[in-house]
Amino acid sequence: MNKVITINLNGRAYQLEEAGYETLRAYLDQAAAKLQGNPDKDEIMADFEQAIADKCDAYLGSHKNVIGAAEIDEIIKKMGPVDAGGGERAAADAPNAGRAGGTLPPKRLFQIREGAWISGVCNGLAAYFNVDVALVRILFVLLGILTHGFGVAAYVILMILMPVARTDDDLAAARGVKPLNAHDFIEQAKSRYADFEREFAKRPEQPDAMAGREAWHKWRDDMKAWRREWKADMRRERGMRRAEMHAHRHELHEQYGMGFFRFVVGVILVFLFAAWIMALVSVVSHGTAFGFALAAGHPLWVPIVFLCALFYVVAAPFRLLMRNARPWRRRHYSAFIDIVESLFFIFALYLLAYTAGMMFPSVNEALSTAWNYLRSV
Amino acid sequence: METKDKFDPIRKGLLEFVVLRVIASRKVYAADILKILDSTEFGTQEGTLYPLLSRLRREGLVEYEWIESDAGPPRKYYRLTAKGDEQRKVLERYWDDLTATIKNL
Repeated sequence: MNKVITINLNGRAYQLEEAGYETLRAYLDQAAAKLQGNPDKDEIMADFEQAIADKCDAYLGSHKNVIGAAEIDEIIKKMGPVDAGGGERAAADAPNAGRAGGTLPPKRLFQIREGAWISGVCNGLAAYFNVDVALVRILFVLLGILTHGFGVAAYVILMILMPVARTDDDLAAARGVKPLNAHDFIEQAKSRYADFEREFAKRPEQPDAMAGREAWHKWRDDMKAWRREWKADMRRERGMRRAEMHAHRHELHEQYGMGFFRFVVGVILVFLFAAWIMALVSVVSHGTAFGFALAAGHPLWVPIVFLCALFYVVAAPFRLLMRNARPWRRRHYSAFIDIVESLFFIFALYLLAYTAGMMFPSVNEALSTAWNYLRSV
Repeated sequence: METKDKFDPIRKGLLEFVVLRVIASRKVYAADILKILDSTEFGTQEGTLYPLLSRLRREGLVEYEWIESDAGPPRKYYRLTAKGDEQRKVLERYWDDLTATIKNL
């Protein structure tokens, strides 16, 4: 027994099994994403809906008024991948040629917003040169320090010049992976879901982190089974996956409300990061940081470890904020609640620091020295 | 590699020409075009054809009119514009040149 969802295709109502609905939804979202920028997008989408409706009609009869999930699979197979290239001649050949030869298309430099601190420049550069984003960030900050701010200007210039990866194809080009050959858009949906779930498994404050990890392992095993007989397996797992993926896509459209907030927190993070790197450099080169001289006899690793721990603690609340302001949170309002929670956490942290400062004058002194040092910089 | 695969990009590239010819020969709507092409080497799918038709329309090569059908909603019937017909002739001439060249090699 399956739940039935009624949908409107070009003005006519059709009843689909839930799993079929999710598949169709994913297909149409995919089509819309592919046709992004096409001036006739709405019209083509309406034509697609009509063609799907016509194909649905073929399955319906007096004794049957619900379209099954398997039938939707058939219909989508018949519709075929959406070839945005049919619209733009030049664009049509590049990805296809790459696909036919089995080689990858050239990488392109994009800003990648997912997981960005400020605008995604470092993220994009990291993807382009295939190195870890942390390395790029360190290089940028070092560059900024060594060139007295030129690095910041470089960042701003790149931020203006580099296009932002907005579509799946952009992201594929930025990361140098194969662009979606829409035949396996379902594969892509699955990998998205995996990313999504891995995030969940990673998140320490998530109470069901273990459950997420287990779910991911299960998913991975399923993938192997899928390759063999994906159709049968799909029917079992799909509904839930599609719903998650759809929620994710939906969130992406809402991320702009969060944009400014993320930007501010990102800038704070970068400043903290820069201060940390400067302190490290200063400790290594002069044996001082924030006005404290390294006491004679102490090995160098003590202040380094201390600075790392300090950065970790000070940056933690901002990282937390960043994470909770992520667009791919499941629900908008819950992201909001998480932010309020995080703000509380920061407040509590500073309250704690303040109390410590009151109780132990030396802590207070150290903090104000650090603050004065930062200001003098 | 099969013969068919070797000509894959060529068939793809010829699709626009083929569609122009189909539209020139009779009054068709999208599903007719698919059905006609399906019995040939140029079989294609909605996902490819619809964006192509929309581009041809944007370039002023084809136009359509809505015609009521006895089964279901009205359909878009396509026909070539004067410019589209001109384009078809140019492509046909070029195609003849191409095949002649290949034969004479």
